[in-house]
Amino acid sequence: MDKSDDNEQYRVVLNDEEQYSIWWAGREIPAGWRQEGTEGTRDECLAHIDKVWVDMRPRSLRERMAQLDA
Amino acid sequence: MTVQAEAPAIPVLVAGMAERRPDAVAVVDSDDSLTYADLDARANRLANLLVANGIGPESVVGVCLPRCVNLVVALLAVWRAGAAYLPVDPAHPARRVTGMLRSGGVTIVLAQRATDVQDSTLRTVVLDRDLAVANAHPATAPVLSTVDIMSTAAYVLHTSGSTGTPKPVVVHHAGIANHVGWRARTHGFGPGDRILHKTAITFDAAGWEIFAPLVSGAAVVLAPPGAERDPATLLRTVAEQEITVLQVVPSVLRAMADEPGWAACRSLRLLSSGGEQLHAELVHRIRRRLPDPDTVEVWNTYGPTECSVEVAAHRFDPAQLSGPVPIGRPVAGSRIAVVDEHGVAVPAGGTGELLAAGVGVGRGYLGRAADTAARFVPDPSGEPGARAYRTGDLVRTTADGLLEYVGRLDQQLKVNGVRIEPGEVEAALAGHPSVNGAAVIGFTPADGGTRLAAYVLTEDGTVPAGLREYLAERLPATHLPATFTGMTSFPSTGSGKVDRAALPAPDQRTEDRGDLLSPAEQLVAQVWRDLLKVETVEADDDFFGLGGSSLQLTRLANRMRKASGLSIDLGTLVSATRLADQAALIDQAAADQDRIERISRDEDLPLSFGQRRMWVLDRMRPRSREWVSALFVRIPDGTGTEQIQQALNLLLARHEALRTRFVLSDGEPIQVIEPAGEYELRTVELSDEEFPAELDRELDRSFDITTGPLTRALLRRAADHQLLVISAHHIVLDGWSSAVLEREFGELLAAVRAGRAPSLPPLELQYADFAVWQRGKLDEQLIDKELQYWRATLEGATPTAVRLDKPRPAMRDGRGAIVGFTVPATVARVLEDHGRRSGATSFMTLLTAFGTLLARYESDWDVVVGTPVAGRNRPELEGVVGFFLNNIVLRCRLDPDVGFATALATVRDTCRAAFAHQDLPFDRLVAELAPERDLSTTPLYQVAFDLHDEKLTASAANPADWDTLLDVSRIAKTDLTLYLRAEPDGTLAGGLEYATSLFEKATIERMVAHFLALLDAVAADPATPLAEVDFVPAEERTLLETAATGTTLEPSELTTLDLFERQVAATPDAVALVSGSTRVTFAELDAAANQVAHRIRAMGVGDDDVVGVLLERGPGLLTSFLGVWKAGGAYLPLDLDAPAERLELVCSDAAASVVVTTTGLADRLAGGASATLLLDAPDPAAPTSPPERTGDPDLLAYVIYTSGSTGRPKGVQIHHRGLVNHLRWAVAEMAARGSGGAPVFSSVAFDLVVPNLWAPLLAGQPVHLLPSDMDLTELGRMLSDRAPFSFIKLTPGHLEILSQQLAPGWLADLAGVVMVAGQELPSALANQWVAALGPDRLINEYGPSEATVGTCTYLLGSPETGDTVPIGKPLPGVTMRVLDSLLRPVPVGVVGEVYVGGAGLARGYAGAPAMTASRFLPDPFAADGARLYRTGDLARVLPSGDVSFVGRIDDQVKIRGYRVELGEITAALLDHPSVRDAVVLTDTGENAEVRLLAFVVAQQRNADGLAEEALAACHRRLPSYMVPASCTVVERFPLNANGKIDRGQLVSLAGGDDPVLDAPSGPTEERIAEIFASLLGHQVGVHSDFFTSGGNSIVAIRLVAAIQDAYEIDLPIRAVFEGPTVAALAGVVETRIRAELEKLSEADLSVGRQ
Repeated sequence: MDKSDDNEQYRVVLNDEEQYSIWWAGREIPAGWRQEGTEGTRDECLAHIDKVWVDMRPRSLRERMAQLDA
Repeated sequence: MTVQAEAPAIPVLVAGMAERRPDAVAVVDSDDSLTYADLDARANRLANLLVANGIGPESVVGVCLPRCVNLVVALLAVWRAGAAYLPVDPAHPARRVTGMLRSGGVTIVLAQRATDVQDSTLRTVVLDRDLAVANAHPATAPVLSTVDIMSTAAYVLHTSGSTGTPKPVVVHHAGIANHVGWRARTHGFGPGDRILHKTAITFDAAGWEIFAPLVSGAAVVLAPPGAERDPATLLRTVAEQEITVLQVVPSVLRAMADEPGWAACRSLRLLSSGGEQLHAELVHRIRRRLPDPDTVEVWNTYGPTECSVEVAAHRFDPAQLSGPVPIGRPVAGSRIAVVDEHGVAVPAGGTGELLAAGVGVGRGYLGRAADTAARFVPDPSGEPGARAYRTGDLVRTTADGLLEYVGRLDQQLKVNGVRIEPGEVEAALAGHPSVNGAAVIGFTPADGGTRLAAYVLTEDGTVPAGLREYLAERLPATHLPATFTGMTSFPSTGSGKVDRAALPAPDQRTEDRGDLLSPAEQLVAQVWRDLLKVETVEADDDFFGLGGSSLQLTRLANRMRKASGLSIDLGTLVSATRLADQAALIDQAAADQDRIERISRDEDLPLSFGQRRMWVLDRMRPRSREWVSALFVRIPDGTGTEQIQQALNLLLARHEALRTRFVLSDGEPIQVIEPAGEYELRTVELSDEEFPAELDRELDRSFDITTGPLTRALLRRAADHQLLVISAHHIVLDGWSSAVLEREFGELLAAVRAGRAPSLPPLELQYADFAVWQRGKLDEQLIDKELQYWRATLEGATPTAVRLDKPRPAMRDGRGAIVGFTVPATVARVLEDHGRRSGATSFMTLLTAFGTLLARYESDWDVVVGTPVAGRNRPELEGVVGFFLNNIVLRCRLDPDVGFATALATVRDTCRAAFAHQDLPFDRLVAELAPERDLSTTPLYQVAFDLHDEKLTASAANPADWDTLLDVSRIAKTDLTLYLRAEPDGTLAGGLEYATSLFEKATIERMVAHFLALLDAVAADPATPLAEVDFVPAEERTLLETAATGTTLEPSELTTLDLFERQVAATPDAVALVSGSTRVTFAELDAAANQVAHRIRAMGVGDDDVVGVLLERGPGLLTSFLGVWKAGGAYLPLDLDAPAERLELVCSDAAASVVVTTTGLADRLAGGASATLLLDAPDPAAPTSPPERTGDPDLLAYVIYTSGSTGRPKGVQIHHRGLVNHLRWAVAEMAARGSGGAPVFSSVAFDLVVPNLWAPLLAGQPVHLLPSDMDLTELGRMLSDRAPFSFIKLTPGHLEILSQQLAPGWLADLAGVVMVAGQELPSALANQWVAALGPDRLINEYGPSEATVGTCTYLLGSPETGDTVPIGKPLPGVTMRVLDSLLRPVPVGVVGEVYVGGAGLARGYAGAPAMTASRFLPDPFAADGARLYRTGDLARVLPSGDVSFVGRIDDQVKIRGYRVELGEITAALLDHPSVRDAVVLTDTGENAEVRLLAFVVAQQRNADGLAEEALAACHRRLPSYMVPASCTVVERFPLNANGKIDRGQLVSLAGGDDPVLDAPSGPTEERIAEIFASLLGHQVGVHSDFFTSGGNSIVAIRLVAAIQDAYEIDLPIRAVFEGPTVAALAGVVETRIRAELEKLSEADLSVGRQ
């Protein structure tokens, strides 16, 4: 995915653990993943992920730890 | 106006020169010459005459003289009289002449004839040859009435303004003196220079042509009148008059480019061009014609008449290959500003109008105050009151600070609102190889608006095919011209510039009835149109009828010659005045010139280009089986051997080629044709089983091309049939010839048997006739043109190379094998239909498929393959036997995103263009594009495609014979060749031929299967994008899938800590760790860890928090790690060797708020924000029982920083689930191999040691911590002191050290199992250990940190054969796939990138979500939202399912366009017996050039000369681009903290590689160095490489011939390739001479004994 040309379009995707990644806009998204809504160049998508993926713990762990704290 | 000049005025300088060099020649014309004294005296006499007639300062004197010595006298005289001259051209219309003289305020005109000036108001002074009119006047200079000559007017010149009427410009003496002075200084004019004055005197550039020589003591040579418009005359004058300096505008230069005669311009040293945009392409065209281009400076100058000739100049840099040549920098005395429309300077790099200021700025326009005020504006940068001239020219400043001409302000066009510089479009057009010049103007089509019209100058006046597409690749769509018009010449202005106003209207020409004319008629019509300025001509038009004059006939003939390249007799043109008749003359001339004539056999017969190529190949490997061609002929029953012999003899008599041999004559090979005789025929009677071996022997006999014969026949007589095998050297027999021979032999044999005369047409021509004709036809000019095409086409192309199974030998091994296959008729037919729909032939269609396969294999869509061409495109050659084959290179730039059908069109166009240029001899292309010595590969392509025509197949051969032939023709023409042949039943018979030295048969068989699957797929769906065509067969897919996944582990929620505590409970008193003399039990360790846990909890550390650990290797290390875990946190091991800054960065990046350390180490964290827990200040109050914890396996276990090759280090977050997954395997497979635990002796900041640290503890075994300050020299001793361990995990670097430090017996006793990881494991090293340990005790492991320590392992059972040990199969719970760039599995054997998934996958990179998202991708093979880590490592799956590591993606090195595997170079170094270990690194130099650096460890202590020897070994084994720039011997490779080779430190050890020209020593070296120098044109050192010093394979032939002549020895050409230096060749020569002498002396002795 690194050497794709600058104009190649990607989508921001995430899985149930709310882990983010990117995937080619034109290709079917692998099962277990869904679109986040952002689409653009590789750099644009990654910049967006930098903004939204603040807590990188998997969702299930996050929830378990929150329960303990509560 | 005050003007300061640097030097006296020109007339004063000339007078001074006359005083110093009175007898030197000053001016020369065709029939006269003047010395400086003569010139001075004459000028003075005439000046006195003028003064006597009232002329003085500020008078203007008309000069109406043709170019003759008196013109120069007249100009100087006017100046001596203090006046200004105003030149007019006597050939111009009288009205124009009068108008110009009047507007200049002229009263007196100097003319040659009284009738030249038809204006009674002007006084004409007639100057005869002897200047009789002035004879009565004194020869001393008149005394002037002014003291300020510099500010008085020097000349009045009319600008040839493109719009409006010409304006008279007044230039003062200071201006012209400044420019002439600059010229003389800059170009270094002086006595001996002969400067051509050829520019019409009405242009200001003529001024320096005349006066720069005269102020320098040089000679002005006057070109004949009209020469400025006649390229041939101009060139002839330059040669005959030994001109040293020539000025030409680009248009004229372009016209001169194709003129013969450049070679004779030996005196020329300076070419100055200006007045128009000069393109580098044109300069190079000229340079190629020059006898010695590097001795001729080329200058591009720029300047308006208003500013005294030139204001900017640039010396052309030959390194500039294309595009506009800059106009450079301001000349002395001038200043330049680039401004916008408001006069404000534009920013650097912007385009703006050129504003010229300085001493050259003229006075203004005579009598035109308004015009002057408009163009001559205040110069804010100059002294008060200074003026600058607005040139109206657009320029920009390049990055190098050079000015570049962009265009005219008034030519700037707006097309659809876009501002366009025609010059930009012209520059792009000029870059096309077939375009010799271009002009672009705007025009208004019928529907209004503005469109661009392009006019291109081409050889034949047609627009080159694909020109629009060519432009479209280089210009924005807005800049594409609407029309293209081809011309053979452009209309020109008086100064030779393109006359844009006179270009034909584009739309009228499109209605031309050119399509009704034959090509020759079109050519003539074009010449007529240009010459006669008529718009339409027809075949019946008469030259004179359309206004042609007999005076124009010469030009007509010249232009027709030029356009057709044929010799057209002027005499015949006079009588053939109709267009059709003139066209017929061209056709006739073409037919005459192009006919292949039968030539005399008495002269030396040259080789054709193809023969010559074969000859060179043969000479490199004489008598090689590679050069043998063979054909099978079935003999009819009942034929007698004698009859066969007779028929063969007739065949031999009929074809000279079969009787030709090749010898050297004067350094050049020639053909020697032997008289007809007996065909060599041998008869054998052998069984089917015995025959193949006999055939093998027959072909192995091969042929000696110097002695002949070059063909022989073998007859096999069997009980039921006879078979004749005719073999021949390839140089006399190509595939087509085989078919001819077979056919003719059949007829001859039939005739012999029937006793009748054979019915074969007489052979008018033989191969030698073709060779001579080809040599004549393909002259250097044509070759040059073809080379231009190929150079442009192959620019930046890299030959497609399929990844090899074995290292490439230094010398190409011609042995090959073939894997046959059949394409079913159904598939073939569908493919053909697809092709037909796209206008593609079968060749193009199948090539598209093959290209797709290669692209997919190599992930490179720029596919470059070769193909042979028959070279028989002339009907009269059809029956001739000989070698006609040529090779061409096909560069298919495929688009991965389009379907097969679309790709067909691309390949079709590629092929068409390539085949149109198939005549260029391949060896010339090689010499041009790949001159470097490389015996390891075939040049320019390593993969070939060859589609055989059905009619060429040996029809008589039955399948069994064909198989036998295939079987014995064990030749590989290049690395890999795909052969396909259409069969009568509609199938395609195929074969994939491969070099057996490079490929395994299994690899090729798989490739065949892939090719067939790919054909199926594209036939079925030609719309699937090429990148997605599926060609992996099902069984292979299954293998890949099975190999990708490790065994599944039983799920467990326990963490490493849980398992450790279980062990504490089980064996509390067992030793858990050993550190020096300290021994710690499990219980002690656990208690200490509990205390640490309580203390850091107290500091605020909780679940998932990161805690730094900065400690020496000692018990505290494990205590702290465990303590962090017990507190719920993750440890961040910090490297003791890391600088403070890095520690700080890592801590803050990982958000480690607490660091566990000791008092002694704490200051290393100076300035850090983290709180510290000092382990050496214990808190006895802390409880020894464990704190409560959640123990969630998804919590982080540790964060480890990888030193990313670029940018910031990345903190890899490993969770407990991943860690325990790896450790469960390590306990079961590693720790279980013994009871001694494992040693830790490298930094814990890297994850390689993770198993050594934890697996023993989980197995109840001790961890041995070796001291932090341990020296690697002690490693062997320290390990064997503590052995046996259960296992040791280490790097190949450590392994190497141990094998040096310990005897094999000790190695065997070190540990139950040894695991190597971290870097590639060389087989040689591994095998040493396998020998010591025995089978199944050495493991090679691979794993990125991001997937928790280990991904896959390979257990070594027996010694390895490849270069490096495979990395094996995935560990339990891990998936590992080798994928292409679209995340699809690559087929077995094909290189892809390693992706890892499974339980061990890290959470991500600490604090780097984007980086994490870009490296951890959705796993398309899992359906559960799992991720795959993209490693950046290249690997391939072996047929066994094991993975073999290939290299890092970012380590892939391209050197001079070649893909280089560093491993191959390492292997070559290791081949040297004195080299123990070798590493090759790349280093990028200051100019971004990648250099290869080699480092070797010597086998023995004494390493003197090893570096040189190792490099020499590389030279022997590797192509030159792979030979390292330097080789450095080191005692041992420096290792970094984690045991890997420290590359940075190594690079810093590299020695320099400045080439030193070592002088030859001894007579042999001296003599050979002389031969080198004479062939290369410059001195070389004894170690300089012949090929990198400018030699090529063609010059190599001359080199060998010269050495042979000098020493009377036989030297093979390959000697030059093997040792292309003076020293090496001198060595060879001396060896050979010694051998000769020994033979001689033996012979002498034996004579003596008799």
